[in-house]
Amino acid sequence: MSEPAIDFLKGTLDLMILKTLSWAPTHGYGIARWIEQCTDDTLSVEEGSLYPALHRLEERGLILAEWGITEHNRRAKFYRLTVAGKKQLRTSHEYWARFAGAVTRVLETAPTTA
Amino acid sequence: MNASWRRYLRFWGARVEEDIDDELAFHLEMRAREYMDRGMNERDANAAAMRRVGDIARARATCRTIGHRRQRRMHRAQTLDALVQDLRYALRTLSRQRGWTAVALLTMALGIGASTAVFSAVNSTILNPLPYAGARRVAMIWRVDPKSKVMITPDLEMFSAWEKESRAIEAMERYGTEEVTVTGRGEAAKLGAARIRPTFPAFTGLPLLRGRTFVREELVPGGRQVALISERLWRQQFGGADDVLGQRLMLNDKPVTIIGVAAGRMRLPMPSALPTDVWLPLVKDSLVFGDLTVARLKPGVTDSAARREILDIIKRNNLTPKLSRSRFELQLVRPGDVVSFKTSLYLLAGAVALLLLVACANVAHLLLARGATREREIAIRTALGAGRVRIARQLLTESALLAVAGCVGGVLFAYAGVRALALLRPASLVALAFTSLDSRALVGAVVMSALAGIAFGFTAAFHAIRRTTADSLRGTATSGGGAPATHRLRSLLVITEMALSAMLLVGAALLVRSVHNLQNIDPGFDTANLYSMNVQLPRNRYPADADRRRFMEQVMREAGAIPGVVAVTAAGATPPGIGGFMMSALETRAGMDPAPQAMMMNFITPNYFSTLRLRLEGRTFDEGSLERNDVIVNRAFARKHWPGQPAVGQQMRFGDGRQKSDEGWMTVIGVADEVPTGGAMREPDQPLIYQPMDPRAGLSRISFAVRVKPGFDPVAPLRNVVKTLDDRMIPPAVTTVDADLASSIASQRFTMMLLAVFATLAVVLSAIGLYGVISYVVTQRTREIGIRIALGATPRNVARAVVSRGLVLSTIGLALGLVAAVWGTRVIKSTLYGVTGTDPVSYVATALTLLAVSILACVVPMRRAMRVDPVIAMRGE
Repeated sequence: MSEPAIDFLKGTLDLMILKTLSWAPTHGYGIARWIEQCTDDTLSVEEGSLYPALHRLEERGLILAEWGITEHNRRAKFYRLTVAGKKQLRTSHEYWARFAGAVTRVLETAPTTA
Repeated sequence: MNASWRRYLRFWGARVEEDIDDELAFHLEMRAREYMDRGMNERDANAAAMRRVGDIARARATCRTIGHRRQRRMHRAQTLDALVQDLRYALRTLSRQRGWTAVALLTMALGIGASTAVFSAVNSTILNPLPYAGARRVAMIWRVDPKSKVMITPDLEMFSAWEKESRAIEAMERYGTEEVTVTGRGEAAKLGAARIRPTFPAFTGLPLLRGRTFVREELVPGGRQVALISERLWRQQFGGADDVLGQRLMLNDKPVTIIGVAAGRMRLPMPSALPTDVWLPLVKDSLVFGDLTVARLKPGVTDSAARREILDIIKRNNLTPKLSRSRFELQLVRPGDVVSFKTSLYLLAGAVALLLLVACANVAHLLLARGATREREIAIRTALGAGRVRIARQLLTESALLAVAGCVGGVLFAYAGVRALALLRPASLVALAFTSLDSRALVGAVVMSALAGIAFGFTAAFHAIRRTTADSLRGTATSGGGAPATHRLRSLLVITEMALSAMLLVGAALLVRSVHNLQNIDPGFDTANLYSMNVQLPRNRYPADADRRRFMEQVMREAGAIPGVVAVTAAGATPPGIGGFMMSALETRAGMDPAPQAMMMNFITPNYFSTLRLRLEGRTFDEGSLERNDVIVNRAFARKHWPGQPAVGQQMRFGDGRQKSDEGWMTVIGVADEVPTGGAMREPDQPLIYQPMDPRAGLSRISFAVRVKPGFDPVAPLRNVVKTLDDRMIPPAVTTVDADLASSIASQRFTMMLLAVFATLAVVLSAIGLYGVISYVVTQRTREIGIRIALGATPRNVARAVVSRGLVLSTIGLALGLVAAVWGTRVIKSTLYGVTGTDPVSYVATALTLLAVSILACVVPMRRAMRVDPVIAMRGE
């Protein structure tokens, strides 16, 4: 059981949620588990941030919520990506790639000796 | 947006908290299950899960906030959506029935517009006529002669004493009015001018737009000639340019420097014939007609307290007026009181209020009628599942939309009405020129109409919903015809409209008769083919008496030479004008009354009576009359001073009896019939003295009366005569004496016209209302009518039944209205002339008119009833 390792920026959490949902509709717990599995528990989603993030995304119309039944016959709230969400995912993913690339470059570039 | 909105409604509803709790609970449960899968027991697993999840309360709170926010936004969007839908539907429905909608809108707009315009006029002219600072405390001060009730202005000594010592008065001003001729810029024109003290602009509280007020050097006779001009003159003649200061204006042929521009709203407390365009300094001895006194009381001081104080001040300072040793009174007159047509204006206000009521009743009526005809539509919608509340809201939206549109139209009409009043006013009603749209009146009228509209729309909606669906769909309802409550209400409305219209018609009829009587008053002399030309002789070009006399004689000679002219005479004034007015004590050989009398005077040439064909007992003046101090008096004068005796030969002189010598006696050589002085009517108690045209009298204003051959128009030739003799004179006005007499009753005619317009509108609206009701009844009773016809009734019988129903309603309304009119006309008694408030002719005419209109209103429904096919009617559609 790893501690919540790194604190997330809100934006990256949104991005990861959108990406997760792009594979298939799922509930909040499912999103948390997927992220943990993908990263081998390196990233652990803090529940306190997850659900507010989900609700905000829903308010913005990027995802849609619907109550459904899980495989264990429990009632759960499933989320799904909307068309607007898909577009936002693409944009944010591109931005993230550029950003991460830039940070990486800064970290790896050593000053050239004169 | 719509999809998620619907989904939201389905799954969230008001259960924001519960949903969030459920969602979080599920998450916790799944986490606990993780731990249990790894071997923990349930209790420990739950605890571990709780620990893991962390601050769940904060998450819940945040989610709740978001949830509620969404809920509110959805709710708003939903309401807005519904509103838009209602509005679109309302628009569609209204435009489908264009005729009805147009009538309703027009009714509201006219009602609001007319009433606002008139109320605004009342407000601007009577209630709040002055745009001054502290206008409510401003009043004119007059001395009143207790016997003759003549009002005179207080003299300079009194004014100075009051200004120095009064503690009730905050500020006071003296001013005089005159007319000046402006030349040099285009055609010569006559402008209104006022002579004021430098402190006058400050008194009004209206700051000057440019420049400054007068300074000491400009206040002495012979000092610098300066003037302030009005904003109107500034914009018209100088284009509103900034360099107007220092420019010159030629006033009465003398150059005057402009030192400032007065605000457009600055005007004298009492309206004068010409608006004041030039403000001149009040220099000693500069006043032609005497000055007027106006004061502003300190806040909280009553009129009676102020009056007492200024009377005290006079007594304390031993100031006795020169003319009278007897008591006199002081009176404070508010500017609004002097408006001569005050009663007429109040009358119009009352009339237009009635019209507004009729308009409201009509709109209400129309709404009810429509509510009834839409029963089927509403029933279908109810059957299809629309909630009652929804339908009611939709109907209300319709009424509201109608009310808003009507109000907008009303505002436009009100604005136009105010402009129309100001433009169409007869010239004598000067104060009307300053009418401006009063926002309070507008708001009042709008609110009233809107409330009426919405209230009745609501009632209609309410009734429409109450009917059961089955009944409406069947279309038969009860055989009585419709919801009895609505029907009663509508009948009541029609009766009310009829009653109000009857009142208006009676008022209009009475006024029409009054005006007719006024127009046919015998003026006492022959006014046919008689013209009057008034000429003003500027003092600078006609300084000497001889110059003026020469001008007068030249005009008489030249005018007499015009081929179409029969006779020309000259005088101080031609009736209904007044030559002059004086107050003096009078002494006769029999004794004297020391109190000064008020009397009119006129200087005339000997052929005055023959030209006017005014009956004269005795003889007219001749060459020696001036020497001999001859006078001619009118019958009123003779009756007053020599009752029961022949006046010819009697002697009199002015003075208070203190002259010891035997000088100054005048002999009466003739007695003339009375003539109208000032108004169209000949006052039986207006004494008038005629004196021979005396060059020393210094008359600068001469009126020529010209009798012409029938059909001859002397206007151009007469003006030409004057122009030839003096081309720098303003072309004089030449009018027929008949026209002058007519314009003196202009105020009554104006009121009469407006009242007639209002009455007509009210009658038309009532007719529409009556038509609506009868029409409705016919529709509801189609079945019954069909049965009757099948049983043998002739179309005539049916028609009679329909019409008699309509007549019953209107007769009731008429009767009520006539009774109310008898009571109401007591108020307007003072504006009537020659008719009483219960004049039978007017009442009968009103009754006949309304009955005729009612029958007409029933014609269409009647014909519809007559054409009912009994088979179709009985089948009930």
